[in-house]
Amino acid sequence: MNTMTWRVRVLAVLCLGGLAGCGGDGGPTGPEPGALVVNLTTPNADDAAILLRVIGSGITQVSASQAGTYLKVLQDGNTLTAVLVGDLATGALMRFNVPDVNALGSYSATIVQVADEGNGLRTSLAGYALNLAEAAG
Amino acid sequence: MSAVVVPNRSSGGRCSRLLLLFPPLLLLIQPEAIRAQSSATGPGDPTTVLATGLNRPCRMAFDEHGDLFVAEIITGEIRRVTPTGTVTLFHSGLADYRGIVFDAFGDLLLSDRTDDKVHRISPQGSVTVFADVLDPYGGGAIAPDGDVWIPASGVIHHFTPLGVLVESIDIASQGLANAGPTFSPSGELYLGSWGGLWKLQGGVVSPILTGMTVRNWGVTFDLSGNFVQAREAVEAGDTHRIILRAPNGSVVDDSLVTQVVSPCATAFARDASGATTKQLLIAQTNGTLLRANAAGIPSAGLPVVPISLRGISPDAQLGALAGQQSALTANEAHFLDAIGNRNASFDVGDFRAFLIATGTVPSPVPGLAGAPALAALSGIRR
Repeated sequence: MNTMTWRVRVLAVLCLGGLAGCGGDGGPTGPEPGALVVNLTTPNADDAAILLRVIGSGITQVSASQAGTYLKVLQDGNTLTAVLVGDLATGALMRFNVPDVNALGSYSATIVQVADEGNGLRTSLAGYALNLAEAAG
Repeated sequence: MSAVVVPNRSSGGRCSRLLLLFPPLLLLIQPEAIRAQSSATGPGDPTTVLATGLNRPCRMAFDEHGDLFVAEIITGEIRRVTPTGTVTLFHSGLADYRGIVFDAFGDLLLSDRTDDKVHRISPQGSVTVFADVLDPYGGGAIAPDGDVWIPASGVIHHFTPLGVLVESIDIASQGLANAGPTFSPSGELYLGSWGGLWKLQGGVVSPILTGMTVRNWGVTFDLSGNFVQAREAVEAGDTHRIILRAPNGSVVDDSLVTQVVSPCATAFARDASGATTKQLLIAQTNGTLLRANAAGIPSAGLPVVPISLRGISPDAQLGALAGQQSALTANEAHFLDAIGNRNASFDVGDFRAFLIATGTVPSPVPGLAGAPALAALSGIRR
């Protein structure tokens, strides 16, 4: 090993250590409590009720995103079943708290049923989608 | 005279002695009164008077708060009778009442022959049409799944809880002109008529009792499955009384209650929580409502409104939607689907219908709430 190579290697180790030490608050990254929001995409303008399922750990404080929307939830382990009734449209549907928003990818949301304003059940859920995102603010 | 027409067991002998001493009294006493004599006391005696002065109060229904509603056939008025006997006018303006029954929503269904309709009266007194029925003849019955069965001349109509016709069963061709339906604890439909009592199974009627007056408002079941028959003595030698019978019609107690005159109907009272009790009410054609001695009645009454909208928990419904198989009974699931989208399974549309019916979410039909709003939604959907 020549002197030049040894110096480059020492410098590289110091730089890496410095980078690690300069990240965030100066310590290792931990869980970041926060809220996730469930967003709905719908092809219809007369949705009035939705049954959905969210799977993920540590879900608390579930609430409807829109005032006036009825929400009822049932939690069984890591599975949350929710019914929302109201004037449903594309956009934020409901939100809930999680112990770590950085674990967003470990949560999933699925539409089970949708009913229209005449209480009729949608026979097809084509064009519907739910996606999860970290809640703003 | 009143001592003769409202006898007790011991007064029968005394009256006979009076007639022997004063034969002209015979001319003053109607044959019906003679038939009213009885020589034995039943376990449901003595009777006490709850209310008087009503007009043939033979059509009775208890609401979920324990008040009795009586439809007067002549006056066209419905009166509310509290457990303490206070009588007030609940509704008037309809004409030829043929029967009343409370449904699973807590609304009063009223069969009216004048306009060939079954009306729905909310607890607040608003009236909407439940269904058009040609010549409705008696009071309806609520099935364990909440469906409504309405008798008409020669026909029994089967409706959903919102008044959508499911089927009409011809009973005229089976020898029954008019009959009043009553459900037994096992969910079998019994039909009372002037000529007896029949059972309807699979569209076919079969006799339980024949050759006697049961009347078109039928019999009253208790929780054990036995039923009470108001036996109005229409033949010489017979006596007015209340009979307790087994489901097959055999006599359990031929003189359950004897201190009655021309009894036309019976009903088990409900308490303030809506539960049926052992308190047996007896309507007489003379306008008097009697209470039997509850200590002598062997079993509490079968609820005539076997399912209640407000008795089905939202938690149970969400449980069913989440896949918990036993969260709802089959009857509850049927009822909720019937007031929802009628697709033969319970789903989120039916849950929304429940929320509208209970007022948990606003009615989407302006000016209507509860069952009428759902019926209007149903009509829009049809």
